[in-house]
Amino acid sequence: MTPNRRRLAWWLLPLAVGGALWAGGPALSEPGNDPALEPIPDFVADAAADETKSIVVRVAFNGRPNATVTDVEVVDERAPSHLGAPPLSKVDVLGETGDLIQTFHDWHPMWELGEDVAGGETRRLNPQAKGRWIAPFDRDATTIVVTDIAAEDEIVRADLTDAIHEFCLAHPDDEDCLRADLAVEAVGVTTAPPIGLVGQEATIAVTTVVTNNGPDGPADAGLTTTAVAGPGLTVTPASQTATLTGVAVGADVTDTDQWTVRCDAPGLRTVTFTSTVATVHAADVDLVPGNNTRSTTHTVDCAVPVTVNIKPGGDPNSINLGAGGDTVPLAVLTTAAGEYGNPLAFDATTIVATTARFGDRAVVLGGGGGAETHGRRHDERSYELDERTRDADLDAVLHFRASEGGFTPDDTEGCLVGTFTTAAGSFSFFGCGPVRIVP
Amino acid sequence: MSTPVYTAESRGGWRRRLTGIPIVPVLVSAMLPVLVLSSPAAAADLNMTVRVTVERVEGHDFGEDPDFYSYVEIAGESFNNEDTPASDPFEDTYTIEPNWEFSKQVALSSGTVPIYLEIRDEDGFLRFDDDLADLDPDGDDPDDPTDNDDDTDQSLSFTLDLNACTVTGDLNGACGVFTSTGTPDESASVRLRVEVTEPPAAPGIRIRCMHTPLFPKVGDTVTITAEFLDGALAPTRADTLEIWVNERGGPKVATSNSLTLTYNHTVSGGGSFSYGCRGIDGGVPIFTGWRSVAVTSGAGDEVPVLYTGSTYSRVDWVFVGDADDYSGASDPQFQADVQQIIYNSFYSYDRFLVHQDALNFWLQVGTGQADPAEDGCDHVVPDSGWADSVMVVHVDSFRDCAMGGSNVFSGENNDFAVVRHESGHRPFGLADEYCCDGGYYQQDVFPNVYEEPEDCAEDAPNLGRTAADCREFEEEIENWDDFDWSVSDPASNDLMVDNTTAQAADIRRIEWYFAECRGAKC
Repeated sequence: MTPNRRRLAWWLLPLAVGGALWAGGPALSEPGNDPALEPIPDFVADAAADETKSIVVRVAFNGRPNATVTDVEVVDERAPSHLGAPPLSKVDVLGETGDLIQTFHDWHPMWELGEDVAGGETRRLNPQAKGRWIAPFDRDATTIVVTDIAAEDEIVRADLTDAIHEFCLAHPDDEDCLRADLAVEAVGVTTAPPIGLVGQEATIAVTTVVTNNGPDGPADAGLTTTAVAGPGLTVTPASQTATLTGVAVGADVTDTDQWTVRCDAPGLRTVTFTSTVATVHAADVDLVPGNNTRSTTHTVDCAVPVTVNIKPGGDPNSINLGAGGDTVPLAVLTTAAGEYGNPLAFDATTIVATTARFGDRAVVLGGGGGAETHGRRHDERSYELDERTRDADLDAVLHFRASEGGFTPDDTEGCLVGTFTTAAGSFSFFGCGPVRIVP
Repeated sequence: MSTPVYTAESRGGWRRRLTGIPIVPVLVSAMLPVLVLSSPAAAADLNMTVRVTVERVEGHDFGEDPDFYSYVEIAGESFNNEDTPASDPFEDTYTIEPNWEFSKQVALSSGTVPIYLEIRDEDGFLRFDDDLADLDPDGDDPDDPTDNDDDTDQSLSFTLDLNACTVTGDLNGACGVFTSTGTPDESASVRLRVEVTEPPAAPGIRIRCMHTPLFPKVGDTVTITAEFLDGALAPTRADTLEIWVNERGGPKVATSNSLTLTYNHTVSGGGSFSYGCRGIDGGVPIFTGWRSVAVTSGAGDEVPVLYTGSTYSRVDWVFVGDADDYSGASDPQFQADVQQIIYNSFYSYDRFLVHQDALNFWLQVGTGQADPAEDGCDHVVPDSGWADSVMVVHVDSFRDCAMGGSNVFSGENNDFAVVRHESGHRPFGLADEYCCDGGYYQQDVFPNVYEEPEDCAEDAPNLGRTAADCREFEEEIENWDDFDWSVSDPASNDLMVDNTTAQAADIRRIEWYFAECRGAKC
């Protein structure tokens, strides 16, 4: 071995010895065990990743049981840890159905820990205290209830929904908020009788079609439909509401409501139905309100109910549907208000005979039925319904061909519809009487 | 303890006889057994920090938007952050990046520790049938010899080798970032980080490290000072002291056999700089942990001047200057005063110094207004409601107070003991222990004051005491309290009596709180 090689060998000695020892010892200097591995905290990245929010309820106390909520706000920073808070107040965050979302203890705003005059610290109870409770944000939260634990007294009940909704309106892209462009696509009367009778109620069905134009969904939709009737018509109720759950983006959801209308005066009367849709959940927002409302106006032909005596002077009122059918006379009685239960007085001599149609109820209300065979009215003192009495006023006797009435063997009534004219205008009338169909 | 690595020798005698044999390699070879083999004995007491961080969770195929939280076991200790401020904000969300940190001190002599992770979907408040998100791609339990490959294992189990910093099991490889995705239907992709790091303290040795100015600007020269301390926080020499700045490749400066070490760092930009101080003595390394320091104000109301990590795993202190004395976070005097508060109230108090890696300190950008106790204690401060405690720092002397309705208290710039006492109240939730007009309550968990003397007596053995150590006092406030209170902590020399030393009940509660924080619950 040359001197140089020998010197090199000596220099390699530490490596050999160290290597041998290293293999059997703990690796205290390994990268895994020193600052080379520990990540460097990055508060900017942490803050960017932390999209937490909290709900702040501020109160003012004027005496222990007298707490007034002064403000409810959603703030874009995390709620504090309540880990160490003492059991002085209990804070419950509730959902819509009263379900408990979270609960925690906190300090009591009336407590004040202050330096004593004589030194040291003392606790005082400040009756005019201000304070706040801060809870982690939850989109389903609706209420915060605070209980004074020692007093076993509920001291605060705060509604959170307005604050959550305001936040989401201001921050619609927040991950806890949902943007749904709800719209009323259509509203219309889907079921209604051809005429209404003065003094009698009828049912109208109104159907509304709601959709969600997105971009987020599904969303619960609150639908409110109001009804406003014009003069001479009454509609109840004034409004109806419905919750359409989970309206998906692009879906059409229908809602049908039943309404009761009553004619108070004869003539063409109107009722307007207005449907408005809105988000229900506090954290859902609709940024396109222009398509949230739509209306429809329905006209009701309010007819005067009249008393009809079919085949006056005889009973039963047999109607032969045989070949060609027989001619059926009937009298429309002139009546006073309240007579025969009619709400209005009716002068049968104002009937326009050419407008009269007689037959099956559905047929005449559908525009069919037989027309007056002579094209004119026969004003005379006809028989009352007792078939014996003839009062002093003139009634209108009309004649119809039974075969044109659209009767079926099962019919037990024949109905008459038409118009009458007074100085106030032309109006509809309607009345029915019993029949016995003879095949 | 110090280990010499070089000893001067005489010029004559044995050195001449060994002419031709390089003396340095021989000496180094001779010392290696000391350098290396001395480590196991010295390291026997060393606790390493094992940290598992759930960085990201992406759910798949849950019926409703999941409410994720973590259940983690590290070396047998379980952590569960269900229904905590750390998990609540991430409810109803499929993909979250929560950075939930779970850490535990584990003896290096353990060699290996088991780690277990579940991601759970909370089904509702106080329900015990929460769903597990499947994280395991093969669904098999490698630790279970009876596992029948039926894909029923949905958790991640692995063993961490503390020395090599490697994991084996459901995850395999060197410490760092791992990802795992379970099989379909109610599964999740999880990204987690596994670390083994040096602790911020070890038996008999401590390290303290601060920078000044507290909130420097770009272009400023920041002086970082490391101090090595013994268990009583008295200065002692470290074999090695290091200051690391910004780069993890190695320390910026190091020294041997020193009490302190200083490094001047010029802030060049980037919005922040980071540093940490490391000491090694007797083969035992301790590291403050990396801290990041803001050098510019961000979007928030507060600037971090000592940021050690996620607020959900840290105790966060915010300081706000009284407008009568300071102009805000950029005020050099305010920075100097707060630095003294941090140094004296926290870093010179062993109970807090050993948890320095779990403390964050912030400055309010703006100013506030402290309101004396006699005026109603209505402090006006920019809202830092998220913080664990907010101190309005002032110079004038008046009666300070803490508001019950917020996390704010006022304090003089040199009332270091008061700051510690107030921290006992908030965040740790300790009650006052003196008679008879303090703030009394009994905590549900680890109380230091009891409503019933029997409770005190029953708990005394848990604190190394007997029932005879319990003392009683009475406080009656009409319509508020009517209790005889009991405590077992001593009547003097106590954190919650005379602002001095945390005693057994105080310590238990403080340690519990830090442990909860290390489980991502704060």
